[in-house]
Amino acid sequence: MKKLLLTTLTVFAFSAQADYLGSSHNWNDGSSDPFKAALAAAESGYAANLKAHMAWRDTGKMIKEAKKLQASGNTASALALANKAHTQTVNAAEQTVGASSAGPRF
Amino acid sequence: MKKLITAVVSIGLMAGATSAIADMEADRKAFVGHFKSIQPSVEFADYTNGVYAYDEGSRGQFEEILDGIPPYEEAVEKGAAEFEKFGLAKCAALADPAAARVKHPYYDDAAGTVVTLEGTIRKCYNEQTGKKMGPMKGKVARISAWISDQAAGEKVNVKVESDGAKAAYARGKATFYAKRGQFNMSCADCHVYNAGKKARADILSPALGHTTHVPMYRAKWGSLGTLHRRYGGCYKNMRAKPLMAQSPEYRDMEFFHQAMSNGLEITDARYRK
Ligand code: HEC
Repeated sequence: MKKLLLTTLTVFAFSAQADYLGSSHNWNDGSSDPFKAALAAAESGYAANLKAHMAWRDTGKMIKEAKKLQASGNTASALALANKAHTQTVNAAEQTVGASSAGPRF
Repeated sequence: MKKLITAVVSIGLMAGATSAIADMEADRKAFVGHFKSIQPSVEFADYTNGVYAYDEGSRGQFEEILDGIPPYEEAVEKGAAEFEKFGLAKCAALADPAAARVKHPYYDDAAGTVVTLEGTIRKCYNEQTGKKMGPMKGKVARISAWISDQAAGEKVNVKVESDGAKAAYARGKATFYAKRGQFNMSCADCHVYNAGKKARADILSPALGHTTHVPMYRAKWGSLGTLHRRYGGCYKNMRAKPLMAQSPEYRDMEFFHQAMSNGLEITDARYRK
C-alpha cells in the first residue's frame, strides 16, 4: 500500500507538477504585487476546482492561512503558501481532465 | 493555458456523455469477476459481510459481537420508535419499510435525479413535522437502519433502465473511478484493485458488498452513520474536499456503488471496526 502510494505520488509529481507549472503558468504577470497575483491565481483555481467537485482537502485552508501570514507581515511565507495553494489547484484541474469518463482497468 | 484546460475538459465531458450508454449488468459481471480473480476462495454470497469476507483474523470478533447485543441495537430500536413518532408510515414511499429499502436508490425520471433512502426519509420527515433532518448521523441513520433491518435477507436490486438512469449511473461510476485529491487516488485504487491488502491498521474492504449493511455502525464513530458519511471520510483520507452528503454527485455514486452489489443479501449486521 505504502509502495503503491509512493509510486502514485511520484508519478503524479513528475507527470503533472513539473511540466505543468514551469512554462505555462506565470501567475506574476501583470501585477507588481507578487502576493496579490499568487493569491488571485490560487483563489480562481480553487473556485474552478470546487465547481468541478474536484477540490483538494487543504487548499482552502492554505489560502486562508496565506492571507493571515500576509496580514501579519510575514510576506515571504505568505507568498510561498499562496503559490503552493495555486500549485494544488493546477494539479486538481489536471485530475479534472478525464475524470468524468473514468472507468475500471478490467 | 486556461483555454487549453477548458478545451480538454470539454472533450472529457463529451467522452463522459457517450459512456452514458452504460451497461450496468456487464459492468457488474466484470466487477464480480475481478473479485473472484483476486480472492478465488471467497464465495459471492459472503461479500455481504464486507471486509470480514476477507479478514479471517477479525471475523471471529465480528461474529462474537453479532452473537451478543451489538452496540447499535439500542439505536436501531430508537429508530423504530422515531419512525412511529414522526408518522413516517404516512408517506407512501415508506409505508412498507422492507419494500422501501429494496426500491432505493432509484432514478426518478420525473424529477431527473437519483433518490436515496435517506433522501426519502428526510423528505417525509419534513412533510410530517415541518422540520429538517441532518443527512449523516443521528435520526436519519437510526431510522434508515431500522427500515433496512426490515429487508434483511432480501437482495440488493438496483435498476438502471431509462436514459436518465443510465446517465446518472455513468456519472456515478466515473466519480468512483476518478483519481482525486492530493494522493491522486480513486476509490477503486483501495477498494477494488487493492481490496484485501493492508493499509496501516486496516484491511481494505472490497467494494463488492459495500452497501449491504448501510447505514453502518463504526466502532471509531461509536455510532451509526450513513453511506454518505463514509464517503466524506474516505474523501478526506484521499486528501480531497468532501462533497455534501446527499449532494447529486454522491447520490449518483451511490446509485453505481449499490448496483455493483446487486444480488447480495441486505444484512442487519452493521458492525465495522
Ligand atoms: C487510501 C485508501 C482508500 C481510498 C482511496 C478510499 N477508501 Fe474507503 N476506506 C478505506 C479504509 C482504510 C476503510 C476502513 C476499512 C475498510 O472497510 O476498508 C474504508 C472504508 C470504506 C467504506 C466502509 C465499508 C464498510 O464495510 O462499512 C466505504 C463504503 C468506503 N470506504 C467507500 C469509499 C469510496 C466511495 C471511496 C472513493 C470516494 C473510498 N472509499 C476511497 C480506505 C480508502
